Amino acid sequence: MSLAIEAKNIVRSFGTGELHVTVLKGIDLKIEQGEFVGLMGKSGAGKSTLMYQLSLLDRPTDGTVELFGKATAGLNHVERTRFRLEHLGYIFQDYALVPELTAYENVALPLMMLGWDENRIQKAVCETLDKLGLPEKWNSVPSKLSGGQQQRVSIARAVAKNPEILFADEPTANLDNASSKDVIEALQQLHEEGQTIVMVTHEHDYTKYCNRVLWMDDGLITKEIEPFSGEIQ
Amino acid sequence: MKAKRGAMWRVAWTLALRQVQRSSIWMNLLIILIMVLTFLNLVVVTGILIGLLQGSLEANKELYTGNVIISEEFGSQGIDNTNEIIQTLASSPSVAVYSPRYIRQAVAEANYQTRTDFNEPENSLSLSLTGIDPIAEDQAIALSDSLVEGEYLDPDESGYIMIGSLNVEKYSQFSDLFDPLRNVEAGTRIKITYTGSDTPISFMESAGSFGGVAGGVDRTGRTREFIVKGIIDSKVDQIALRAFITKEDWDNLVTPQLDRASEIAVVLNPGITDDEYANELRGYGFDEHAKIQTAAEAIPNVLNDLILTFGLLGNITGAIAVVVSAITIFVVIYINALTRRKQIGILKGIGIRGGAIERAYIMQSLFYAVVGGAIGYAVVFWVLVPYFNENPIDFPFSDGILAVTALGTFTRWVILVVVTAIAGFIPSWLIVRKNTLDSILGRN
Ligand SMILES: Nc1ncnc2c1ncn2[C@@H]1O[C@H](COP(=O)(O)OP(=O)(O)OP(=O)(O)O)[C@@H](O)[C@H]1O
Ligand SMILES: [Mg+2]
Repeated sequence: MSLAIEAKNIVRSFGTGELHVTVLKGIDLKIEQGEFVGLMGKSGAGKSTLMYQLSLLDRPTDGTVELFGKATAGLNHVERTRFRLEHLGYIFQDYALVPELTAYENVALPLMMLGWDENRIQKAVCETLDKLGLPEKWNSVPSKLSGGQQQRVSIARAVAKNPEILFADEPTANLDNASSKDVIEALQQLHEEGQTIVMVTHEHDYTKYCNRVLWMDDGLITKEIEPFSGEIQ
Repeated sequence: MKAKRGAMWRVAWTLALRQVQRSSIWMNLLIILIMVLTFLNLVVVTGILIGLLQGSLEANKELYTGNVIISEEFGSQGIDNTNEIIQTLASSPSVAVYSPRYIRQAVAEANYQTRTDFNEPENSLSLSLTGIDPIAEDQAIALSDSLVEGEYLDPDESGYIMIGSLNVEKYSQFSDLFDPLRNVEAGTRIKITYTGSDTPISFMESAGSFGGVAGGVDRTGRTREFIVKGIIDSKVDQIALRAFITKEDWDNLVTPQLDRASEIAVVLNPGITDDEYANELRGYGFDEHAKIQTAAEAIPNVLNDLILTFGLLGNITGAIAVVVSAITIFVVIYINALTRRKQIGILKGIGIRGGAIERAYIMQSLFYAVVGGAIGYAVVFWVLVPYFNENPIDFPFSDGILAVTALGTFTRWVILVVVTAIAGFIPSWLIVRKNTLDSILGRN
């Protein structure tokens, strides 16, 4: 197996003088391709901040992030945007769909940006929405969808292009239990198809399908814990 | 990289189209209304200002000069070779009609019959006494259409006069500037005294020979009583300041040395331009003894200056309108983009280029400008222009129409579109360029 992510000594600090805070204090992390990794920890531990470094949304103050063996420090912001478009998928806590676009159009948008032709886009969008259990909702705008449905559209938008790595920062935080379970099942299905996934969650239950679960405390990964093994509530 | 550029436009188009389609209809209507009003302001204000003057130029041509006007040199009394010129005009196939005018200053006096006390102020006025062929003049400048009272001169009658309205108190707008004739209307008798230098004559002599007037002509032939046949209210002051009698009566009163017209208005047949015919006349050497001008050349300089001034004023008003609408679009797009800052950050987060998002906002602004401009364009050419042509604004010196050209209007539209595009781009650029993560997290 080859490495999807290799982070070395990642430090991220903010502010100067009295306001100076170091949120990430030297994190080393390796994630294999095809792995489903859970990230847990108390609020304020730095989980989101770490996700931003790994997904090229932010630049570490120190240390390096290599994705599929490629150093990313030298990329300018246009190249980073391009890299995210071509290789990374990101699921936000609050779905973050474009309100004027239908489910279909939201999913199609990154594919248009990739320059795919209409047929290829249609095929990918339909397959993905189908797989995520959203038939007949393609022409609905987000406001006509439930939270769980919106989050699944958001997942579809992230994965329709077959990204090498999928990042999900608390994808279930705004959802009720049933919807959360749907989302986790959807991620598990993607994982089974070989998708590399890094997911932050506060619920131990939702780590059931993870290969590994890392625990963060005060800017460091302090331990690895067992994935949940019971029945998801 | 070419494919990427196309991709950017495609994404931009999808975002822009849906944002316009699915945003509030009232918001769309409001913005379009602002665009339409801006466009009208841009086109109509200048158009009316210039139309007003163009109307007066038209009036000058239609009601005074005809296509070409031949007039006496400044300081001379009449055109030397009037007969030769008239023969040329009469035999030219280009000329539809021509009307020679014979003009001298004369004094008109009214109410002399009721004036018993010599201390009472005289009711008299100096005016341009113009001898015309009533039929030719009517064909040339439709003089009879300008009648406000009474009837038009009959070429076969003698002893009748038509007075320009500015000489009559009832119609004159300048009555506080000089003393027009009081109590004059169709049917009034007035006395015309020729005081010119064609032959030496003493005004006192003719004024003194009061009794002789009763028969119509006094002993010297220099004063004569006329009955006011009609009053002419022309939009052109030169005409409204004159008094018209038949050429026969004029000959009797002024005692012409020669047949020397003061001016000849020439109306052309279609197929020849004013300039071409004026040049033809100059080619005959007629400009040695007379001034030959096209209608456009005969326009007083002050009018041309006014046209420039009004055009400038119109452009200033228009520029202000454009700035106002640019600010409106700027604010609308800025607020739109600002409230979507997080969403814009997320779009960038999932790999959508900032350029695509900016293009989406430019397209939105363009949509409003193009639609607003198109509606404005239609309103101008389908509603306002026909309306003003049917119902000209009745300005004192012209019939105000809406002077707009398709090209000029189109140019203004393009200006509006370009300015709007910029006004849409700047705020979106300000928001899009912010750090992606900061936008997503709502940090500054
Ligand atoms: N730009 C910043 N400036 C200053 N401090 C920051 C900044 N970004 C994050 N922090 C701080 O870093 C710490 C970690 O934040 P982060 O969002 O990574 O935590 P988290 O583990 O994701 O927490 P949660 O579970 O609540 O989402 C917090 O204390 C936060 O206040
Ligand atoms: Mg977090």
